Amino acid sequence: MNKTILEILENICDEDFSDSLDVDLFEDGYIDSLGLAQLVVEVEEELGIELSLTDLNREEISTPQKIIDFLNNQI
Amino acid sequence: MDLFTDITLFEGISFWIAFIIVALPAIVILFLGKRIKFYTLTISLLFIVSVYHGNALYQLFTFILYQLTLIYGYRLLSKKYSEKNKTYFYLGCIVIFLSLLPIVISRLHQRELVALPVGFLGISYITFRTIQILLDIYDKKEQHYSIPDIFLFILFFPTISSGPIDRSERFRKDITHQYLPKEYANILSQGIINIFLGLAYKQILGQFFYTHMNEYTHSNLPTVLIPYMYLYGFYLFFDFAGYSLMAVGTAQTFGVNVPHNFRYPFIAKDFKDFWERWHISLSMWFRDYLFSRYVMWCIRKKIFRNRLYTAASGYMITMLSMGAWHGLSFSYLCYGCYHGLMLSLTEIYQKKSKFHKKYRKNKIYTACSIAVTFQLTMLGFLIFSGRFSEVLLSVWRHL
Repeated sequence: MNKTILEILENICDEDFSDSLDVDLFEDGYIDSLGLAQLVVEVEEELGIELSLTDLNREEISTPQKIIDFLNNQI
Repeated sequence: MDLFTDITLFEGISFWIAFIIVALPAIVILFLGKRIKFYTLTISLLFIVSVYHGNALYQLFTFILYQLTLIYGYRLLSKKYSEKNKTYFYLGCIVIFLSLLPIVISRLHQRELVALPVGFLGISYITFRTIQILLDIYDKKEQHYSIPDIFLFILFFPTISSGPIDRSERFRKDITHQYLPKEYANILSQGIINIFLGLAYKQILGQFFYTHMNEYTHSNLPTVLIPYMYLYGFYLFFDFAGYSLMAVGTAQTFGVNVPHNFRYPFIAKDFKDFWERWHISLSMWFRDYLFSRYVMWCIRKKIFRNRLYTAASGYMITMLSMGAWHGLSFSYLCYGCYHGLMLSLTEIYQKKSKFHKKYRKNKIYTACSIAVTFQLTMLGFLIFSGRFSEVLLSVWRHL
């Protein structure tokens, strides 16, 4: 699952985060509201986890590691 | 008592005297750790009858009853269907359409396209709040608020006519919260600072730019557009940011932390950054309730092959709606179009340009981006002002 999450992120940001799990995706401009919408849809399609865009707290998912932890907690 | 029967919000001595009179009991009660929901509602109603008169007052209350009927009717009906049901989707669309209908009629009436005279101060801001509630019901989010909570959310006097646009659930938490004296003292002191800062912004700086701006309205020569553009841009900022600060400050006095509307918009790095700094509560509303939904729909249904087309169409639709929300005039629609185009070009440039990817963290590059964005957003304000099209028209006629 973690691999799939990193693939989704790579697809959205054009960058492999395997070695940089603590990059701030919002501060460093990798993800904006467009990328976030894409993330929600792809997580739903690839992993079957339904997220509500307006409930997402950007703080909770600001780095690849945080996204991995957050999604693992959702299962 | 004539003094208090014709008040304009945040303007003139009679508003501020009335505000101080009604704020003092609120401050005392909040310091005692009690809630003031019903007091705030009463005060909001009192302000409304002093600000709105005759037909406008009648329209406002009819409009609110209409929207509340929609909200409660929809809340009951939506429980009968599951989210996956087609009927559920169509029902949602119909309710949103009905909620938008008054503002659409009002905008068409302004352009003399519809004879029905609908329209009063704040209709557009109230519509934002009711649509937000309806879309939350559509999303099946939990609704904790009671009828007085919704009434107060819609009618809360600091934000009723010109925002900032709060969110119902966040607002409800504040009005039902019991403050510790220290906690409230902190909010109150921020509120007082915001009120004075807002007054200085609007009455001193806004007026200063307004006076100088008007020195350039007597001629239709294209050269006057350049000084006018900067003066208008700064006037608009100080006038509106000042108003928003006063709204935030007065709301804080009543224990409500309404979101801020501006955050140094003139140092934005690009157009996306600009909309996170300018009229923030409006752009965040459009982001959450239009742009993101549209983009997600496009990705799910695979409407476009290329992600950039999805983004560009999303930006155009969002910004055109934002323009139309201001009014259906040529200038507002152009303003929307301009920002839609600029956001799309920004997206394409940032995704495609190797130069951008290489230097985006470089200080000189960032400084240049800020300078370019500043000039281009000022041009946007010039389009918004209506002067741009006036002068263009006059040049056209001359030719």
